[in-house]
Amino acid sequence: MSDGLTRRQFLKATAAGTLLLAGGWSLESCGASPTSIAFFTPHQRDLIDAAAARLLPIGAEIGAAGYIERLLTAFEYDPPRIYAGGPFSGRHPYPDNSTGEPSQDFPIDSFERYLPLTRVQEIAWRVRLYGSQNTPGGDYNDAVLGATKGWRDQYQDGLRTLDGTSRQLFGLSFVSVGPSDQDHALTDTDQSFVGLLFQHTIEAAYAAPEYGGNRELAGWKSSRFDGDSQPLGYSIYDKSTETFHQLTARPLSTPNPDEDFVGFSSSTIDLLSRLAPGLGGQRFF
Amino acid sequence: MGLPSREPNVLGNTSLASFDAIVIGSGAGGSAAAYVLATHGKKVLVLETGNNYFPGLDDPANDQPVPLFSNDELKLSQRFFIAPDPLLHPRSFRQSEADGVRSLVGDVNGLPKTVGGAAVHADMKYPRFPDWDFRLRSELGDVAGANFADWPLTYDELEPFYTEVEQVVGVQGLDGSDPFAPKRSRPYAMPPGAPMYAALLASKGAATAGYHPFPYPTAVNSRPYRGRPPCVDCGFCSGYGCPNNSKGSPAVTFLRDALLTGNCQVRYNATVTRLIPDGTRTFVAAVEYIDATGEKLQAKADAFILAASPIESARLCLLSDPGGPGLGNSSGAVGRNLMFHFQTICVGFFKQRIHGHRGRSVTHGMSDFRGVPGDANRPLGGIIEFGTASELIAEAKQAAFSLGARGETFVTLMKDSPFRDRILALTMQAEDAPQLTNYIDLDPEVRDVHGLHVARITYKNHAMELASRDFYGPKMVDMLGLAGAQFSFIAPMDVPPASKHIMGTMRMGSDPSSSVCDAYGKLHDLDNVYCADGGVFVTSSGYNPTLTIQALALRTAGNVVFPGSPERALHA
Repeated sequence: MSDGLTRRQFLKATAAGTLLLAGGWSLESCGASPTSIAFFTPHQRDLIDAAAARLLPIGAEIGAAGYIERLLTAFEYDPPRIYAGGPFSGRHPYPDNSTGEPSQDFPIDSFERYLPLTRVQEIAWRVRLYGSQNTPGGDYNDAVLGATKGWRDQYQDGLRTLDGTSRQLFGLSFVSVGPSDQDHALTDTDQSFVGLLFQHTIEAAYAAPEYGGNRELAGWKSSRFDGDSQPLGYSIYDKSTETFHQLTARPLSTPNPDEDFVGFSSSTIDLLSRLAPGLGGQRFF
Repeated sequence: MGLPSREPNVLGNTSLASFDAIVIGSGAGGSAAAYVLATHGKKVLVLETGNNYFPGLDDPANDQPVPLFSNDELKLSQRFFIAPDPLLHPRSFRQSEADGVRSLVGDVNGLPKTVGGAAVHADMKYPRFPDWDFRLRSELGDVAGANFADWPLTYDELEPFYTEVEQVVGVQGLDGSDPFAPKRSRPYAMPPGAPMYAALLASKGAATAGYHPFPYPTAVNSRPYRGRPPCVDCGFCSGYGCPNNSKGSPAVTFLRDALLTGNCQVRYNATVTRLIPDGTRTFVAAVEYIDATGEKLQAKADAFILAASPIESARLCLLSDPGGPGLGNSSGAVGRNLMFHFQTICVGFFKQRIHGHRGRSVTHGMSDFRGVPGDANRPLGGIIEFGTASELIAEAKQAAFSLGARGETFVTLMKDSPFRDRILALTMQAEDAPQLTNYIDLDPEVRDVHGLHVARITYKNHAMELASRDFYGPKMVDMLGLAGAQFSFIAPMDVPPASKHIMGTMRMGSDPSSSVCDAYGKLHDLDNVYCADGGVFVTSSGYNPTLTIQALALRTAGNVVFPGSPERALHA
């Protein structure tokens, strides 16, 4: 028996929540739907996966194009696919506070149920996706700060420019040239678009898989990250002894059991040393 | 009494038709104030600009709500789930008037907007201020360019309110472990939870250097407590709402208790746009707010409690008096003496993985660098937090955009994980000298999504803060070496300051010509308006502010119920 939210209590509360929040929260599952609405052409998808793979070598296999397409079509769904639900993903079990061990009881994946947006959240996300000029109530600072160009337009324009840069430089589409030419084209094209693409590729790799990327948790595994850990966490309170048990493979208070104490790769040291110039009080021990 | 509410965007008793008090903001101060009022039979309306992510918070049939928070970095840290979205709620910033109208527009120290307020996202560090913090002007004398003053109350007067907060929210800690902590009338509500490896290394370094590390007083359960479970150390604490309610955040403690009395109603997605004074301008008659659908409404009550956070409460006073000096501002002090904790952050990189991303963000700290007033060898700094690592997407963005990593180098860096898995950060939350020239006013042009002028922050450090950084920074670097770091440095200063500890702007004091509120948080100029957030702070201290915000809010609301003897409102 857990002192946390038990499965029974969670289901009970969720059932109550469905009633009392009718109109406020929709608890219908939307994330599990395999269908998706197309925003990119197959060629554009290939362009994104090819560019993502140069920026982040796991960019294509984690599904960057799919993640970005899901983001850009968020408002084609109800609720919009912006905020995954909570509290738990179902990847980890409840703790058992009577034994101090993990239980065999896993919560359902509530990340799959996207949450409705408030009126003002919807304005912000429509401005991000469609631009301030195309969003009712979204242009309140345009006179002072200038209009915001939406990501959907930035992708259409940015991909066209990237492919155009490659054709201009090499006479071939970006997807048809070799890796070093792709890097060249990425350096020569619109850098604000490359930044946006890199940002979204990073999110695709390292966000929860319910957002459409991080296929088979490849992003988390490649960076040795456990991802979400609730409701199990890293310490389990044992009621009978009033102590905390820890997981052997992933301890909280001690080094990892397989820890090598070897330190960073040389390429990482090179990168970190870029931080050093100009920093006060820097010291190596 | 109709609990839970079945009306959208409303929690609590929907049948309440008239109110003794309206509380603006459901965060640390507002929830504590609502708790006092509702548990003593007053009818309270709380207006909250953010959304509610605690369905069932007002349901007596459930043991606790099921939060919609999760271990989801994209949602909480990248997509502004509760953090202020700079598109909706921008602010502008400049260091001084010499910079022109503004030097940047964006997120400037914005606090999360949601039922339960910014403390929902905090890792809930709950130290008390020592007794001398309440009389710093007397201790320091004149400091050139600064505006230090004594608080109009003493530690001893506040102590019972500190105790009440600690008992209601559930603070874990180890009695006697911090030699610099003030005396207390009751032990901590719970013993410390499991320690983080990184914090144990830092504690070893601190002890080797002769300092006094201790388990950090934290409002997170280490035991089942008042119907909420023990923390599982999930690692998503600072910046995240708690998925299992083990964090004693205002929503699941004070606010839930208030809602369950039947005397409290919370309207969320309800943004107060102005206070409407009576013709004599000696009291406020109503507030105007924009509801979830965008409709403008008014609400009336006998008393009004500002608890929207220091910057937003001051902004509301200014918005309520277009073309004038601001409501409650005969002193000219509204918005002035804005303080942040001046953070000096030192980071150490380790050869082994120290996994600071597991645990409660920070489990240990020390007060040795808080300093001693008047002692040149112990300048005023602040408490040091041991811990906090970067999140995964944040680490990747740092690698990509700060270090320029790409391709295989990028993947290798993510595997090595300097910023997440091998970093130990020491953060000093140092005294920030109050200055009249550090202030908020209304940006003349930039607006929020509701069309209201946003807050403009004008802020520059005082020499005192920079001196404490120069004094303690190198000692922090040395400590990291003693903790076993391979490489350590002092992180560059943030401009604007990144601290979410915001204080001042509605200063309390006994002199109405130099302060906004009296010793009980009532505005000098208005008979029925109070401030119950960090705005009333006279000085910033060098300790995390939330416990003190809540203790003061209990006292302010207690004085509304029992004028002259607020301690009669205590339950603990």
